Amino acid sequence: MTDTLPGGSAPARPQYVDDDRDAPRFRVNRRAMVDDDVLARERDRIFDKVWLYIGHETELAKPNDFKTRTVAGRPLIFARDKAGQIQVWVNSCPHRGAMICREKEGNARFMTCFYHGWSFNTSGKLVSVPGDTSYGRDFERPGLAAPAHVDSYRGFVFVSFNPDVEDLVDYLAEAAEFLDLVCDQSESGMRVLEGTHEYSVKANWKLLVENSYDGYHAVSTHQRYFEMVAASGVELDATRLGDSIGVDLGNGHAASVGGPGTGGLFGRPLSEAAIAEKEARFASFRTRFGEAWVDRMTGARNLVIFPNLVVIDLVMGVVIRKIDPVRPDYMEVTAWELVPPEEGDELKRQRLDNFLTFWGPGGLASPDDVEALETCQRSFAAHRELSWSDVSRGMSSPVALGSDELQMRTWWRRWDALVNDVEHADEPHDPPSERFRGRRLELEPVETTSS
Amino acid sequence: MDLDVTLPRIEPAPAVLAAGGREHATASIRLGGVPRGVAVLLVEDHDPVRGASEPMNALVEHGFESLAASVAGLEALACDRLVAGLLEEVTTWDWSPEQVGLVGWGRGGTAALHRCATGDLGAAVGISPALADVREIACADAPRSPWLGMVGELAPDTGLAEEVGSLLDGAPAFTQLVVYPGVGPDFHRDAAPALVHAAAFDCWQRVVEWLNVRVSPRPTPYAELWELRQHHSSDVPTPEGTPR
Ligand code: FES
Ligand SMILES: [Fe+2]
Repeated sequence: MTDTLPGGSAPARPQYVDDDRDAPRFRVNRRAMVDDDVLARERDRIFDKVWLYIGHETELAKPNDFKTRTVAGRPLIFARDKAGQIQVWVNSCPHRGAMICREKEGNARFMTCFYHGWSFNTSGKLVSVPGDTSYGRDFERPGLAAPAHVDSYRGFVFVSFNPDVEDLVDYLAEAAEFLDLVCDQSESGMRVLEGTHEYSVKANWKLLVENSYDGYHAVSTHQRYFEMVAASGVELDATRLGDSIGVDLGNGHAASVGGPGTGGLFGRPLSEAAIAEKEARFASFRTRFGEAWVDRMTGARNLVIFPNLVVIDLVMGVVIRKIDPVRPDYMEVTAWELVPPEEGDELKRQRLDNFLTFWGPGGLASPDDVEALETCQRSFAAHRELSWSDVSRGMSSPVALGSDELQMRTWWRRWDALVNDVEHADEPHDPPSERFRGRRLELEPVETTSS
Repeated sequence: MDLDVTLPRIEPAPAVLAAGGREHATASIRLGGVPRGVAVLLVEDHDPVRGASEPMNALVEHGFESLAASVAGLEALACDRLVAGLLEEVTTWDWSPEQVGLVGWGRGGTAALHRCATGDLGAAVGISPALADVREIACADAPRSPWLGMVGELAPDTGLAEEVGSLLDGAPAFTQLVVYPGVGPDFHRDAAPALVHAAAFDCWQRVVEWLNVRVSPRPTPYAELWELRQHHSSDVPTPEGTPR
């Protein structure tokens, strides 16, 4: 394969995505995982252009709470100002560049740059400059810089560095409904628990995107986890694992979605009391939102909002995961847990236990995934000898299953359109069955009389 | 070479302030230039000059002017009136409440918390307040200005710390309750035992940091000019006394 067209005209992009509808076969060229040039284009054409997750509103409980985050390689300050508004600032002093805020989190109305002492408030305004007379009376005092757009959907806060980006809800397309399925699990609003999981993986960031809604790998990669679950006395009905579909949600977003009840399919068993509390909570949701919607809520969900936000509702814990490329062969991952705050202590304890044993960086599942991805990356050193990875599973099926690879293909098609200007048509499948399409109703909560 | 630098000490100026129908001895340190902010101190010593001189001088190092008075022997209501009088006094020095850090020891710390209910203060601190009083105040008037409380683990009612902590967590403002291990209510009076010394040192660091990131700085004349320009696009005359 050559990068230059005959006659010396503009170099042609090598083919990264082979989307052959006749075979049918879908392949991804492994150069996409190793090239510096690809990562540079991803930064330019994806991370600088689309909406990117920065954090959840509930992480900033009080006025002047702040967290420092990296989004699209930029150091940012994610803050709630004195008036309670969410603000996002570039963590760089407009004077000569030092980071204004060098802590991971805290509460401060004023942040003073330690280099020369300029001070800013959480609304981004420059409030003091030591020895300011030397600047003259007409000096225009620069405030903190901000991303072009900041917006939120049901507590999920996104930024975009693209002034011309579409509205967030339009961008989210049908993925918004999947966030609703998660957010409706609390009357008072789902909250992110304090604390984060942070880990790095010596692999290309796109491998973790693929892995995050890959139903195919569960039983083989996570064998040890399933053994642990079995040993704890849970009888896992393996056939239910197959009760799932893959869905294209538009704009590169996709999910693998389990049928009703699959959300609690595995994980260590809950106590009687916890089961009863959980059932009571969902019964009240049924009276508010209708049976069909709540049936969907009880299903497992692995959602990727293009390009790098993962929301997984499985094993009794909702994980929010943000994936950041650092180098072609190295990514950083940050993960949080989203919970209904009104849950009782016992249910919460069991939720945390299940969350840690599965999702934690030292849990029984995540390290297996990390190992798998790192071996992929190491093997990509031989990408010239073995250039293509196959992502065809379920391409010819009328309905794509959660264990098929429609989710990844959806993502890759969007990726190819943005990075390489190669457009791909949607993949035709039958519409999902009724069980996966129930709509949310706004019903009056039924008064229940206590017995 | 001797690198020890002894900063000159400023002797606080004594005065008398009438507040809430009685007279209170006060101590003050005023600074030239554009001070960082003002600290209002509520000390337990009957004599505010003696009781507050040290923290007042330490605050000068961070650019804070200060005004101190004693809460010794005052009931809660009288404390509140004293606080109102002191804040009134610093407005005549041209400080607004959001430019004030209110720091109290003992019952002065609970009075500082009580004053947080209105939400206009820059910041407040309570050093070794009685947690039973803190609980009562936090229940009645949730703080709307940030309050930092610091107590010794061996103080009589530190058993309430967890309950008070979660009460304060529910308040609209950011608050923090720090419990120093192995020390009693007098931990802030620095002493030789390692834990007391460490607690006293850490406590003062926290006071300064708490104020520095929360008390609004006073705008310089040029900053005020710039502020005016933000609001009026047309030319603004140079205010009296503005350096050119
Ligand atoms: S770089 Fe921040 S004050 Fe100079
Ligand atoms: Fe996995």
